[in-house]
Amino acid sequence: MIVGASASSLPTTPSPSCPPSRSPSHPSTEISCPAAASGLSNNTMNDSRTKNLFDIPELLHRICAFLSAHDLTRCVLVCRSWHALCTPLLWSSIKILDSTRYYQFLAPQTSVDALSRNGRHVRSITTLYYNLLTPLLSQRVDCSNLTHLVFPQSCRFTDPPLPARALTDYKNYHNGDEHGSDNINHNDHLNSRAREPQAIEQLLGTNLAMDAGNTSAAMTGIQQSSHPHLYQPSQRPTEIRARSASGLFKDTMLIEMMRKSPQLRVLTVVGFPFDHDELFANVAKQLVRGGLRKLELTNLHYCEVKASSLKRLLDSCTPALEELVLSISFGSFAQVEPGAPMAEEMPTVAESNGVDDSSASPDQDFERASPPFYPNKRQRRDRVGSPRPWGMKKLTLKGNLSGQGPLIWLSLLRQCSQVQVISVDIYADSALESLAQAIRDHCPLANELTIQCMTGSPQEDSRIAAMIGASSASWKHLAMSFFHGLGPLSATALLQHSATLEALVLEECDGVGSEDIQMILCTCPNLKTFKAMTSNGMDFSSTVYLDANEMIDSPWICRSLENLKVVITGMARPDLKTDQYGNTLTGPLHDGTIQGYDLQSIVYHQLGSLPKLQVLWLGHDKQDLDDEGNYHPTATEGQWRYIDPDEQFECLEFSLKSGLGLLSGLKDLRVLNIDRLRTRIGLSEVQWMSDQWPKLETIIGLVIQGEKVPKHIQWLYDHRPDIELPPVLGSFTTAF
Amino acid sequence: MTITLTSLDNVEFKVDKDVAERSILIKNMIDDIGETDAPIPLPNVSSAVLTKVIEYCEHHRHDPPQVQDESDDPRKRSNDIEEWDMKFMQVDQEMLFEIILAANYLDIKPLLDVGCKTVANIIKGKTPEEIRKVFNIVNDFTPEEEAQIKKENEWAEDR
Repeated sequence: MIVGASASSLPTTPSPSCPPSRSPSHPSTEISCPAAASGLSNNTMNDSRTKNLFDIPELLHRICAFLSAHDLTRCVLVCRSWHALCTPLLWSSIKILDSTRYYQFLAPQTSVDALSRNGRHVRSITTLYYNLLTPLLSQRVDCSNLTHLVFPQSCRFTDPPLPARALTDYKNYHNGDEHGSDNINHNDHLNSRAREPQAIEQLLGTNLAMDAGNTSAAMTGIQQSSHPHLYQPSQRPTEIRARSASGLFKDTMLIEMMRKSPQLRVLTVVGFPFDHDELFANVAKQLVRGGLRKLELTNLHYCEVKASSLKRLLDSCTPALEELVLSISFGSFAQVEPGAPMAEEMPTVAESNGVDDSSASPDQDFERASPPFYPNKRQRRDRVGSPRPWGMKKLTLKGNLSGQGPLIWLSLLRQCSQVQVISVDIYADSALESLAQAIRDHCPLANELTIQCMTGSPQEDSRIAAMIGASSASWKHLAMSFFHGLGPLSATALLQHSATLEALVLEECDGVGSEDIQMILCTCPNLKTFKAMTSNGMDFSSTVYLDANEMIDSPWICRSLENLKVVITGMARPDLKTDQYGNTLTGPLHDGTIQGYDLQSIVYHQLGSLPKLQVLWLGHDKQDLDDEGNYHPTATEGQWRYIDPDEQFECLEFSLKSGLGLLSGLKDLRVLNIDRLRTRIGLSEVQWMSDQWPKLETIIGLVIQGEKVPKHIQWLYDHRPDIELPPVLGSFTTAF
Repeated sequence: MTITLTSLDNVEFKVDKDVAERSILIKNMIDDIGETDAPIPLPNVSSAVLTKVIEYCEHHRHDPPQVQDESDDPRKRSNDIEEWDMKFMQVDQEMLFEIILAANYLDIKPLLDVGCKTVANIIKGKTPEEIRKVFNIVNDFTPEEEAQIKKENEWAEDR
């Protein structure tokens, strides 16, 4: 039955002579035949309209594109034509994140039969299990349409333990058996599990499941020391080869996969073994081919990595790459080989903007850095003197990637004329200046910067100001951590960006004054996130806070504020007599000189007039339990009392009497943090909050561990169990 | 400027030009034919359905053009239908399908999306048998085929 006259957008309905299943794997494909695998047309009964709707494959496809993987597994069981149409959709995304699914997928009918049929539909693979690559690498499987390969959390290089409900399929299963000669000799490598679990874990820096069902504990002759940083893999080449050969995993699988998938655009490996030098080098080689748009290599565990290998990877980036994430853990640092030639900086790259620079100095630079590796000629042309602007939009470089040596990422950054989002850790004082200069001179579009200062020493105000001032596009997001030494220059520099700032985070940044904070809130109209807090546990700390007196007659302009994290202090609290150490609180704020709630009202009023506020974080969130200065002797010998220095005694009361009702406008409020604020919240207050803040999810700081549960908290447990009340430590006694 | 549309059952509908042009098909026709008082025939759409379609287009006449969502996730969401659209789609199944077919024919992508999302929401959470019941589809699998398909795709099921 034909639907519609000559309407061009309607495909005609099936005729039996139609060629079978060229199932659409992309919704925009126009099909003139239904994708019925067996050639059978639809078989609905009475309802003619239903028949028409599902007769049009394009429409059924469009509908099913909204369904989850699970729902698609139901759809493929409805009838043959649905099966034919939904199978490509189902197989377009493979997500294997637990061991049960892993073994279900590896069962022969799936990993051999179904995968061979449906490989070409696979667009995206997300898994924790590296060995999932084995069936995919079979010659029978067509992966040419794969675009995304993602190992989103610590990649597991060994098979997970068999699930408790071991089905008969799994017991005899051995990954690699099915393929026999299809793949390059897997079995040898899979069978030799070489080393002590702990040493390997330290060595590879990956999260291993060592009680995997199929491991055998054959030891090779290589001796391991238990201190990973004493083991120098680079010193003995035979050792490296031997390690790879009998390694825990076949590291060439990743490279083969990249070769097999010319359409690969996104590659993410969290748990990447940076110390596997050959693998790393091969990834760099693949990168040079220019297909990837996004590359992420992260390792959250301690990992040995060479600065020269990292540099080689950075130098292999092509203009096509749009996003790069290289992240090694805090605690790892890149080793710089003594005497190895390392290009310090590239001369100014004028060619990134179209000027043909045939002096080819970047090339020389590259060759100096890593002698055995040259990009092929085509790629060289692409990178040197190419008028093609670099597509890099997001650049994330975390961890001590340069070690003790010169900055390895500077030359790349200078190429990235279109980069918008930059996230980087600074480990050397000079790096801050180089970064500022690079952004200023080469990255005119940079508008988001996240920077952690890991030098451990304070920075000069002028240097910080220079970095803040480096953006010509003007910052939209600026997040700085651990910068000590902000001063008036930095504050002024921040205010230059008031028109564009949407997020400003100053985490553990010292030197921001109360008046600076007020200025920011009064001059940045688009601010959505503002965080400025230090905790007393940090060295150099002068606590950052906003004195409520600044807020008098000075309304904030940031009406769209969603996330506010700041200590607001300076309000009279005559109800509080002693501090956390038992000392008497003195001064006009506590001795009764100032009565009434005038200042608190101003603060409540200001906060209450932020209709989009979702997170109101007024208490500190860090506690330094390692600082011995926070432990005070008690009457009992050997018992010490932990007392947090960051308690607040000049804060909002949060009582209805003091003006809590003025916060009734915060209808979007989800999270309230009042940790270590001395508040006067009682039953009426929590009932009010429950009533007035419909979206409230969490109150942090209300429940203190170890204390008796007061009536108002019990009320919350009874009437609003949906509101999370995570307990905070409070003061406690301990024996060392 | 008003455009006249004629339905399958010869009912005339007068709509404003900007409302009519939510349909790309009609927009292209107008661009080709030029401004004319002659009614545009829509022989595939009955008056009942056309009424609904026009209602949608009038409500959404000021909507900005849709931006292509360029996220890495190829799977789209169907839980973001706005309230008015949800109420609008509370019709019997036959009308729902008619609206989708009409939106497809008339090339009104937002309406097509809403319709498809609505059908997707009907399918969500149902077993194959339940889906068959709702849409009157006959099961043409043998039990062996069903078992095989189920096994093959186990990895994609929820627990």
